[in-house]
Amino acid sequence: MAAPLMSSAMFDVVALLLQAWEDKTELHGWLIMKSVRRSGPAVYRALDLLEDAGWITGSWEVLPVSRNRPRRRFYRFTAAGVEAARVQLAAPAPALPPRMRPQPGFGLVVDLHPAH
Amino acid sequence: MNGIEIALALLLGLVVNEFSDLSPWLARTLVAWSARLRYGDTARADIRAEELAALINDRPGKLFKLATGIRFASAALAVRLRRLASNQPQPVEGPAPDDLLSSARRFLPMEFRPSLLVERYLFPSERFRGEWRRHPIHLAKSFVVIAGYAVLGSWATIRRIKPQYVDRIVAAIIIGAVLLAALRVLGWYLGRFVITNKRLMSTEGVFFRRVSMIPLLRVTDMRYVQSPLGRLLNYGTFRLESASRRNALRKIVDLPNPNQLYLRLVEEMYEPAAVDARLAGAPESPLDHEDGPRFDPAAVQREIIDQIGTLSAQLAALATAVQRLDPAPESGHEAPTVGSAAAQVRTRP
Repeated sequence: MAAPLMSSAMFDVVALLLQAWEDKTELHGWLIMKSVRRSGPAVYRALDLLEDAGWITGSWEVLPVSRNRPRRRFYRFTAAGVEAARVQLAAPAPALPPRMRPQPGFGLVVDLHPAH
Repeated sequence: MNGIEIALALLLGLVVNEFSDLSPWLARTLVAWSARLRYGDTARADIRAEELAALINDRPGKLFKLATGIRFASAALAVRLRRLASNQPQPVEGPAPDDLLSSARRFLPMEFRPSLLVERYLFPSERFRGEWRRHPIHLAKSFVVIAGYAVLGSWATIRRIKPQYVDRIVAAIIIGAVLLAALRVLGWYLGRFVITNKRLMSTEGVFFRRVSMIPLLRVTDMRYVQSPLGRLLNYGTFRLESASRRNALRKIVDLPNPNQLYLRLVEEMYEPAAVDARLAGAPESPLDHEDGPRFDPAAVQREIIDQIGTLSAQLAALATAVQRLDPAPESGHEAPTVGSAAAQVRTRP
């Protein structure tokens, strides 16, 4: 099972699904979209890749016969997927280099740490 | 406020109301269409179509539903166009290509052998790094130009030429346009942009042949430009500045995958050793296969027939052994299966 390379949207989706796994709930497309605040195509691209990698599986909502509407599809981790996801999320994110800020270049700035 | 304005306001209200009722339906239609567009004929298309329709149902707000539907549709359209442009008509089932996520850092697959078209322009000791045709959009552009001139010419003919000659001249224009288009296709098919470890080359032309080059060392400045359509269809135009004032390869239009080409070129300029290492360490280089043992189908067929013969002989021996081990069937109820199977096996050769 190759770990899919993570985009930030996928990172969010994985984190959310992991949370759901711990709460023993299942999530469907709109809930995921709403919770991670990403566009639908981005969420579904992540879901496609995760499904292809075997990390998650989907299952159809069971509707009573009388309700005539499209079924939702719920996603949750597979047993192997949850391991891989934990490893992936636990891996430290690459530290961003300290942000360079432009400093004023003239001599009016009060020197907070004067070198004596 | 007169009667017409009131009627208009009422009508507008009705239209808005109708539209907001229509938009959820439109959104569901759009997402179903986008699923088919995005996933083609795979099983996933049906799954996605239904669950996306459910997603639209869940999404609150009628116009928001429509916006979401449009987003899905446009994303699917972009994916489809990109797939068309890269000549990969159907989505592949199975393990995902992960280059969706990391396309910027990936490289085009390395070619190992120049085609015959290009090979004759390479000197023996230079190392070939790849050759590309121009993006098909190049062809489309020249078709548009040819069609434009043909229409213009026909129009001028109809306006200006005596009626008895018009048919013949229009026919000649059309034939000429078709021939020119065929020439353009052939030229596109034969034209190549080549990278080696020493230089960039472009070979073009059907009747007139133009082979131009620029040494890598002389490229002082390089950029590529992509139009919005180019970004959608993944092509771009390279501009090279060299030390000389007039270089032959100043502008190379409509190259496919410009960013990857750019990375290739830059790597070739700064880290030629890394390219060599990557080529040497490439796990599935076609060269390995070509140097490896070649098999010919006839020998394989003979081998398979031999093996089948040996196997069936062994099976027959096994069957007789099993029969000997078994007590002789008195009534034919106990062990007829093994016996009959053995008999079948033995009668087969």
